[in-house]
Amino acid sequence: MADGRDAGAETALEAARQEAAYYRRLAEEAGRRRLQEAEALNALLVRAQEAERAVQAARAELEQRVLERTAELTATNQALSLEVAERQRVERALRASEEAFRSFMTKFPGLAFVKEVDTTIVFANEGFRTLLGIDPGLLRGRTNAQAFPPELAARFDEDDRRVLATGRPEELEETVEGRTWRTHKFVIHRDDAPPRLGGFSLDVTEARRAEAERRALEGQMEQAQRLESLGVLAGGIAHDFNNLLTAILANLALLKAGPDDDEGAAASLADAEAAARVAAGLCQQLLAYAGRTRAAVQVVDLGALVQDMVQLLRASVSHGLGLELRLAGGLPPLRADPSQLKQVVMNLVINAAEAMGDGGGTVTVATRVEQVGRARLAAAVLGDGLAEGRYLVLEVTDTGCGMDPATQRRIFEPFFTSKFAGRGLGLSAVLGIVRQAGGAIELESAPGRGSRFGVLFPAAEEAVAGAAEGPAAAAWRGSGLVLVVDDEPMVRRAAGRLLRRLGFEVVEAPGGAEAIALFQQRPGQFRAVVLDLTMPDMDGVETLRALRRLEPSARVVVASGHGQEAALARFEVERPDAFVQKPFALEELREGLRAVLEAP
Amino acid sequence: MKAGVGFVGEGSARDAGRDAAAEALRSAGIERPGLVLAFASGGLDPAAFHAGVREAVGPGVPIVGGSATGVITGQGLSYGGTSAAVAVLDLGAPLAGLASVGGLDRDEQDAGLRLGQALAPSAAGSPALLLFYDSVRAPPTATTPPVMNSSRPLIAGLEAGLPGCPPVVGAGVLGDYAFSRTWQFCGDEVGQQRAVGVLLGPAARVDVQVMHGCTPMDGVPHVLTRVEGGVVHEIDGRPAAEVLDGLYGSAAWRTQRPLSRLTFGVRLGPRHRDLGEEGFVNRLITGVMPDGQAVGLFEADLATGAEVLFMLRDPALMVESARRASEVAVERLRRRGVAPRFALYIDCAGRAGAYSQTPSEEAAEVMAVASHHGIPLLGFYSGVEVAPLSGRSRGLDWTGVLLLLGEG
Repeated sequence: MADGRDAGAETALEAARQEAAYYRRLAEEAGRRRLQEAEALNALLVRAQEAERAVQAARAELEQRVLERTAELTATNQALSLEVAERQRVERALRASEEAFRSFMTKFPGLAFVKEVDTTIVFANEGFRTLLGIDPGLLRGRTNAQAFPPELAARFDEDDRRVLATGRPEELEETVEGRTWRTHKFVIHRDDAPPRLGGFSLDVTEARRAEAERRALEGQMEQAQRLESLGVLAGGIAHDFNNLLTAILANLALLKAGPDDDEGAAASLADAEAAARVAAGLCQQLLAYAGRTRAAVQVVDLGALVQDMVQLLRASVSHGLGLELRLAGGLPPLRADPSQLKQVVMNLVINAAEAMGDGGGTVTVATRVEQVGRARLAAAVLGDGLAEGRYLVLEVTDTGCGMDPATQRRIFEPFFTSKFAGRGLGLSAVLGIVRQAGGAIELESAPGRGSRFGVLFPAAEEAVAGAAEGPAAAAWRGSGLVLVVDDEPMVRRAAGRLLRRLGFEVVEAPGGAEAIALFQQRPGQFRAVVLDLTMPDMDGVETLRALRRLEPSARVVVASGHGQEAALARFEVERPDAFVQKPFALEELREGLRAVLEAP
Repeated sequence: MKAGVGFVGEGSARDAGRDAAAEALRSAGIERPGLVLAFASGGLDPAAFHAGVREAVGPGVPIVGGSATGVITGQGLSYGGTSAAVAVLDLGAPLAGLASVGGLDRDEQDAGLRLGQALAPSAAGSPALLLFYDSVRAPPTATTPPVMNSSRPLIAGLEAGLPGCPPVVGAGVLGDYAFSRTWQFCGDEVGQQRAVGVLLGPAARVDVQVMHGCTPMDGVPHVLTRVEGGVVHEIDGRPAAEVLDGLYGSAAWRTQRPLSRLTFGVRLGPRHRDLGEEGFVNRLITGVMPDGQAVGLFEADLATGAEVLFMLRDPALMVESARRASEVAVERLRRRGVAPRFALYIDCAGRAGAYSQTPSEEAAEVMAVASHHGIPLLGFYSGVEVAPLSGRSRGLDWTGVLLLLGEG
């Protein structure tokens, strides 16, 4: 029983052991499954976490890249913004510049152009359209030869290539289809590219016309003023002439009545001749002053010119006023029209004399040379822009009433006068003449203290052409046949007698037609012709031309009461061989004939 | 008592120390704290960090703590980078004692003994001893796992040197997940292979809660039939690695260092009784040894003949237990009539979300509870947690230890 119980217990114990082992295996199996499932889950979680980390890392990297790229882009954008802003500023400036250039070129009242070295036009402004009716677009890309008529193109080619070759800007004046253009051409240098030619042209037709009109008006004004001053002179000159004529007539009357003796006759003749010569000189000066001549700029000796005017100047101040001359010797010459220069001297002297009125006083005329600085020139009327240097000074001072500053400012205006007589053209004419001569005027004056006019003329380099002095002039005699042509019988007869006294045979003719007839009748026989300039029907100019047609080698001495310059200026085609100033005497005729006949 | 916590997630070490301490002082309204707990990640220069804290709190204030793989505060948590956290405590009474010893790597027990002896004169009536020590004896090499300082002989020495040793709460500190060398802040000292102990004054009111979230895999006991130091060669007479191959069904686990799910569990109570979470102590398996037969232990406190269970780490349970256990601890303290004023959370580095494959941070549960109750929280990620369990202070693995300090 006990064994049986033991066996039963053993069996039960074994069963319990087996059950425990079973449940242990179950537990272990369940535990392994739990572990493996947990591990599998863990692996999944790890992978998920790794994936998440990878995503995060990728995102972080991406964000970092985005940040970096954004930073780069921001920096680039900033740089670009700055660049764009700078570019926009530059573009605005460029546009403004281009706009200004375009506006300027559109409104520029002329033609503007740029050409390549081969004359291809790369730019032509709107002026070509508005002024010439040429589309500037059609000009671009064309050369001179393609754009302009052949003659014009050739001229442009020559000018363009010269400017490009020399590199010096040039100012050219050209007339195209009746319009005058002043063109400036210059070289435009470029970096790393051939230079170009730039240029602009202005239509100066109207300006030239206005200038011509102004010159004409000035001439008319000068003439009017000259006549005005002649009127001023008339009283004094008439007085002088009366005195001279009185001396001549009185002496001739004595001779006609029969002289007391030979000595008395000789004295009367000498006085009459002297008076006549003074009168002749006075006339000559009057003619020289009043003669209407074309402006003939030449080298002038100012001292000699004033000296030649002495009698006239004295006549102009003759009513109780003194005239004092202080003329420096050895002055350099100046370039001016002598006739206009005389007008300046005369006007200043008359102006000075009138400033003194009846109160007496002295007019002083002085000439000298001075070195004039820029400051002094700047202070002078017309002095702006003149170069400093040596100037000839013509100075006229008076001891008259003087002028206040207001009067001084207006005295050069036309038709301004402070005098009772005259039209106020004197100093205005002086201003015009001095301007033409490139000079300036200094004025110092004060009420009650007189005035000083100093005219500054730039000194010329050339020497004054002096008259050749022939040897033994008084001993010269001639021979052969001379034709005297003059419409005035007394003059013609006197001339005949003087020529015969010089050894010539004389044939007289009262006019041009007669002279021609005589030439035809006696061809080759006349050694010389003394020909009056002013004659009715056929004047000296026409007669000379006809005589030369008959005998080209005909030697002709022209005689005239007009000044030599004015007289000779009328002979444009055929020029006479010599000139004799009327009134002439034996010496003047001798010099004239000698000059003609001794010339080679 | 008053407490304040500061957190810094970036900046230089000195700035981090100064700024975190300054923030802690400011938040607590404390001018001169009685104790400073400071933890900084291994990436921050420890001396500079300590100097920064010192600059903020002033001279003479004990600064205790050391390296951490991350920090946890009411403002946020951070691990794996360079972060630091500082708590300043005004305990209302002087500390009972503070001492530190070196030479852990030579002999943990001796070090513990010396530390206990140093603290012994002032230990009477202390409700708790805070202990922070260097957990890494030697960093890992290419072929060997790291060698850890063992908490068991340390605590044994401590208890030997300090008769009537109060419950020990603390950590073996760890500076990073590479098991690099660590540093300890021992008052004015900053050193390595050291242990620092702080005896709280008798007036201090404390509560300790341990949480790990692991459960027995199958409940079947096994015997470690050959253990040498921290290496388990045989389980139930078979090569340890072979046993694990059988459990996993493959050798794939051999790449894991440490093993992520499987631990050894030591039963703290009688068999056939539902012990719950606090009935087991986990021992982390660091991985297969180079011989391919044995496995390593994170703490070399298991000897031949020890009975163990295989434990499974359950992430969901870990998170759930952190929330639940924290609430329990607060409630428990309050039931004692003590108002919680400060929470110190010592959290195993492996419990961080990135290393436990959890979609959320279990420490966030603790943060939420502390925040809910208005308790300043300082936490850090550690290598080994130390806490009293089943009547004895022990080194723990895979554990979160919550220490609550209160007044009342």
